[in-house]
Amino acid sequence: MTRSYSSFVGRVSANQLWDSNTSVSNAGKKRGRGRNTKKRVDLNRGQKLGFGKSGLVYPGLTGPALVGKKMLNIGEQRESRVQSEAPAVEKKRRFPKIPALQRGYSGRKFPGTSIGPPDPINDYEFEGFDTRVLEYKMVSHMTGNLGRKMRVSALVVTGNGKGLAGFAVAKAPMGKAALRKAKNMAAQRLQYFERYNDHTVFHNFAIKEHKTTLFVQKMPKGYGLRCHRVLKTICQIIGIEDLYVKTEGRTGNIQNVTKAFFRGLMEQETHQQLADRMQLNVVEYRPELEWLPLPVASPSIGKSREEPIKEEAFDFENMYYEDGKVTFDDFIVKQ
Amino acid sequence: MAASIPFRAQINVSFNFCRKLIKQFAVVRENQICIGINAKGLSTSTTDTTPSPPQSINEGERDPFPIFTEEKVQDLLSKITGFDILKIAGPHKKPLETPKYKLLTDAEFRREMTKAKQRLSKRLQIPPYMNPRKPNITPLSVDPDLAHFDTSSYVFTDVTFGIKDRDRSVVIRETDGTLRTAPWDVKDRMNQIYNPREGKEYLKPQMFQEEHLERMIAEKKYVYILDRACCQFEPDDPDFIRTTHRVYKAVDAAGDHHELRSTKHFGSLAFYLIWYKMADSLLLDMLNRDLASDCQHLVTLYSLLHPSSPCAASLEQLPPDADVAAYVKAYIETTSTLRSELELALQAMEDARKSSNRKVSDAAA
Repeated sequence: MTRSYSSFVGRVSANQLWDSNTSVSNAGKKRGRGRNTKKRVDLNRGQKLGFGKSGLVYPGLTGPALVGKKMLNIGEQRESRVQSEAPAVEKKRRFPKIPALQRGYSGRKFPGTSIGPPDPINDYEFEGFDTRVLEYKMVSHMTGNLGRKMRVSALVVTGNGKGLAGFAVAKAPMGKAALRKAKNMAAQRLQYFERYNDHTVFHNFAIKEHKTTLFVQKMPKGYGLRCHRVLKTICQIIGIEDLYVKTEGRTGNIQNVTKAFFRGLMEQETHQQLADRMQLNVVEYRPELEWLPLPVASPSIGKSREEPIKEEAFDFENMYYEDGKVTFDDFIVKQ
Repeated sequence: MAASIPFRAQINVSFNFCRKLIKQFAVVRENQICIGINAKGLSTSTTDTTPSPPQSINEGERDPFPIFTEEKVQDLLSKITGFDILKIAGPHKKPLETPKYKLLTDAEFRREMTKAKQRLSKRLQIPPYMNPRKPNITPLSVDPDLAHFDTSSYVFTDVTFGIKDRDRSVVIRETDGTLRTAPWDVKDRMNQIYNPREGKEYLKPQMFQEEHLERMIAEKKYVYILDRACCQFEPDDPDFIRTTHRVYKAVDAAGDHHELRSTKHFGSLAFYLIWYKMADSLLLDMLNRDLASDCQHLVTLYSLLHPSSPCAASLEQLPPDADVAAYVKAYIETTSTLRSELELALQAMEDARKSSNRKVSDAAA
């Protein structure tokens, strides 16, 4: 037996065709599939019958109808011109181009982009603040009714570039809402970080959060930020300009990287605290100043201890790598 | 005849070897051939006329160098230079390096600071103040038999190890057979070839040409110009004297004396200004900055440099325990051209001192 193929054209109406493309079942609507349906387009809008792209002239249809040199008079031509004023078929909407400096880490994604200062609280404007998205991802849980229910989780950091910064994670069904929630929560969790000469950390340190380890190194002015892209963003928000960080372990876990860095910065010991703890002058030698000894901190009580420390035992660069600070007794020269 | 030159080294250049190389170079460059005796090097250079002599302000005058080197003068010059250790230390451009830290007791810190001060005070050694050197053109010997021996003249340089650049003998055998001591510019180039110094260029940098120099002076890069001049030139080079004097004049005219304080050039600046009796605005600057002892030292220097001046005579009549004001007054009355300004500044300084003394006594009471 043979069966001749017959086209759907002519059997199905245009309405039925559109329905097949644009409708969603009731069950689908419940699960949220109704949101992304296509819209019907009137394909006849703006079409001019008889006028093609190539601009061919059909005598009598698109041009004057000539018989020899005599022109035939066609009355209906004008009417068709009046109809062609309708707008053309809508073109596919394109997203506006984002300038390179406002783009995030990758493509048209949120992480790395700026979402402006937090919303004002009771007339308090967050002046000079900026917020950056560090992580933006879909998370889900299962419900009895809906099955997998998706939400957006956003991790943002906000700060004023002068040592004040905070971070927060927030979830919401909509991305915009998640970002706003996270931003305003971060604004309520601000911490102040002391910076050395407003450009770097006070000393090298290592910090661990679960399986994420950061080895942070103090760097001279002009070195720049050489670290994980997330840490670079955080440093820019806090106002740290020169830093090197070696990131080890789970470096893709943005939340742990962020937590570790904030905790590490908070647990720093300033030069003044070191001077007070050791009861000694903290003296800095800079190459560009001919290794001139410059006191950066002296004990608050006004004078130092008498006993000097063993120079070979004191290693400022590795001093804070051991968990916890090296004790004073290790350095004292026994007399 | 060449053998009669008292070279310190033995001439052990193989003649054939030398001849070969000389020909090689003589074809390329026509003007001069340089031979480093001891066969350490062989090179060519082009002659050019010595740079135009500077303004002959010093001609027929006495020589400042013996007075400059007097211990008392040196002492006073270094005293008025000042010692701002941060300004002496830098900051200089260096490759990026992390600072080092030490934990020091008070005593250790004082010791470290003293050491650093000693180390950095060497930076303040004042460059010698000299008259421009005279061209030395008397031939050592004339040998007409050797005329047209080659198309180039030969430069012989003594490259004995350890010899100082200023003591090095450099002679030229001209194409007409004359043997003479090399002109200064040739000698400087030979020194740079055989004993290269860091920061010194083989050819004079364009920076020292009039138009570029004026631009840099307008940008107030005084210390940079002076540092580079010290590097490039000998202290009795006419170029050095022209450049430095131009800068000193500009500094004095613009009243930027403070820019040179705590640098090695301040002593030279002061010496220059006092030597040409133009120290008024420098004194005014010192009075305005409340540098009383500096004012006294400056006036004393004036009397040392010009012992027959009326100022020196009036200083002699002062009692040994005379205060700063007496010194400055003596200077104002005898030599000053900025009389009213100086008197005003002196008055202001004295008033400020009195009021601060009163405050101290009030606080004590």
